[in-house]
Amino acid sequence: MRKNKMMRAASALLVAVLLTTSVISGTFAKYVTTADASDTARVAKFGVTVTASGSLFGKTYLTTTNDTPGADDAVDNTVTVKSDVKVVAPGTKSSEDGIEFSITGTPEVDVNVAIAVTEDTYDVFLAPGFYDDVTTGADDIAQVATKYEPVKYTLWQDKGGTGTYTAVTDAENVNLATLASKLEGLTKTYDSNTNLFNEVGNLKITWAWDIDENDLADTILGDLAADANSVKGKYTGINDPNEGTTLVAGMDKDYNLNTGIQIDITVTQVD
Amino acid sequence: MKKEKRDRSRILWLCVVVLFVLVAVTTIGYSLVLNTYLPDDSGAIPLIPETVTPAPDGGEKKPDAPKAPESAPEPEAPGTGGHGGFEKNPSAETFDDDQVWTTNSTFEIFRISDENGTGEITVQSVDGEKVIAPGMEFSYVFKIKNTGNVALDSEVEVNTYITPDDTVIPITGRLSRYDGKWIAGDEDNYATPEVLGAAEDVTTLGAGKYAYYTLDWKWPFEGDDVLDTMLGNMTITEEVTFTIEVCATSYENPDPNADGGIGAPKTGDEAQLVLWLTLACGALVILLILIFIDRRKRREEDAEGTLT
Repeated sequence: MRKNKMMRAASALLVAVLLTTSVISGTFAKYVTTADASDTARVAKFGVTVTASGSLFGKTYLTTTNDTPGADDAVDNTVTVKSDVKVVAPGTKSSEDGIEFSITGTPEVDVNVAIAVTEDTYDVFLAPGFYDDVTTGADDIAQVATKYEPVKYTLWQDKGGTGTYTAVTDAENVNLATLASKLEGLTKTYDSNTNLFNEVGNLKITWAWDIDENDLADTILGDLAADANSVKGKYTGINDPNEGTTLVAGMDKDYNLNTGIQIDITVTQVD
Repeated sequence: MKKEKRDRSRILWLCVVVLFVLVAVTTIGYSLVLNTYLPDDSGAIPLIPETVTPAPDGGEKKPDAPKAPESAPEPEAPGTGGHGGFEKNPSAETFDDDQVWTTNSTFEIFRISDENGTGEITVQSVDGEKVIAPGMEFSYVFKIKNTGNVALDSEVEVNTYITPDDTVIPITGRLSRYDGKWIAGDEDNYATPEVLGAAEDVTTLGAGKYAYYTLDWKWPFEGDDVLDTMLGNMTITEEVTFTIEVCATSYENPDPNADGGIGAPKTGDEAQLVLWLTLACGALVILLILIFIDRRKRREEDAEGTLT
């Protein structure tokens, strides 16, 4: 009797296995008719800003502010220099703030910060040579031994906006060509998510003309500014008996009386 | 005492048998479900080549391969409708390399970062959100497979959405089908978001066959710098987003024997795994029962021998 019951139970289980198999396979049969999928992305952030403020030169320079630029209509008893146009002169300098510019932003893309000094950049200079000695008032000839560039520029940097500027290495009291080179040397590519203000920060340019550097050259330049024919040069030596030659103005000539700088700052995504 | 031991032994054997039966049932059930998620072998090189049949709407035809030998009819699934004695089981699946689509699935067509040609990361999301930027591009492949036993028509529809409204994002895209048909854009040109967002296609798939689509998008690096910069700055203060959506709808073709799509390659292995598992488990059960009966018989014989 027990044997029969066990056999029946085992057989019933086997049949149950086979039936379950067919039922489950039927249950999981699918009738999928529609499926959809999507994806969304936002535009990567850029948000880089370049700002500039201040000025370098003035029509007046005030004794009360240590010979830095003043208002155009400053009264005469307060100025050391006054002109109808912006000028530079021995003893004058820019304000302590000079011209400032800064780059801010944390873009999500790699960027190249390019600082370029354009061709509209020129400096005051007097070429080396022999000139009328305008300091004695006699018919003497004097020598300017080296190229005279009296306006000296300084590039300052304050990374992260701490409020303290530090002169950039080898960019303190330099001529304009050197300043331009140093500025362009700050061109750099930055990785995505770099805080540009922390890396570049605030930049500032100031200048000064030392009144005691070279009286002869200063006076020659000043006389030439008043009358281009007032000073002769290109003598062969201090004892040259011949008449001197009228000097020619221009950046690649005998002298130049203008100084100015144009800076382009461009921040571009790089691939 | 001996009788108790025998009873216990019997109960024990019975439990073992029941346990094996339960394991067998579970195995069979899981194998049927998990079969769906087995790696897709659609890219395998067939040992017995199949002919690629173009869709009826005249898409470009790829070169014919030698014809495959005719295969046996698809097995019937119980509990389904009939058609001249043949039970229909229309079903389809849309999937990519990572997942099977359901409803409101998310596919990976955008990323949180991008690399240039030298492998350097040039775009990186700051907060883990997917981003798009000039210079980025991507190519995405999805497949639609007729997993049933009758022909299906599968409709693919692409939609694009930009926020905020009226914002122009210069993303371009194109959509192509397995047989070379271009639904949006073409080999040399990408379509505007408006054209891409209106892309639609219908393809017929024979039973067991599949189609694949390639969806490409890109944001040209050398485009409108003013617009690109404006968008990059705009996104600082508000969300500027781009969405691509693909809908795949499959329905029964009026002609159940219609054909189209790519056939699955025959690898030569036609083992009916479920059948063999069932038979193996059944045989094991029977074996255990026989062993149990034999042992019981011997005990009874031993008992009779002792009495005499």
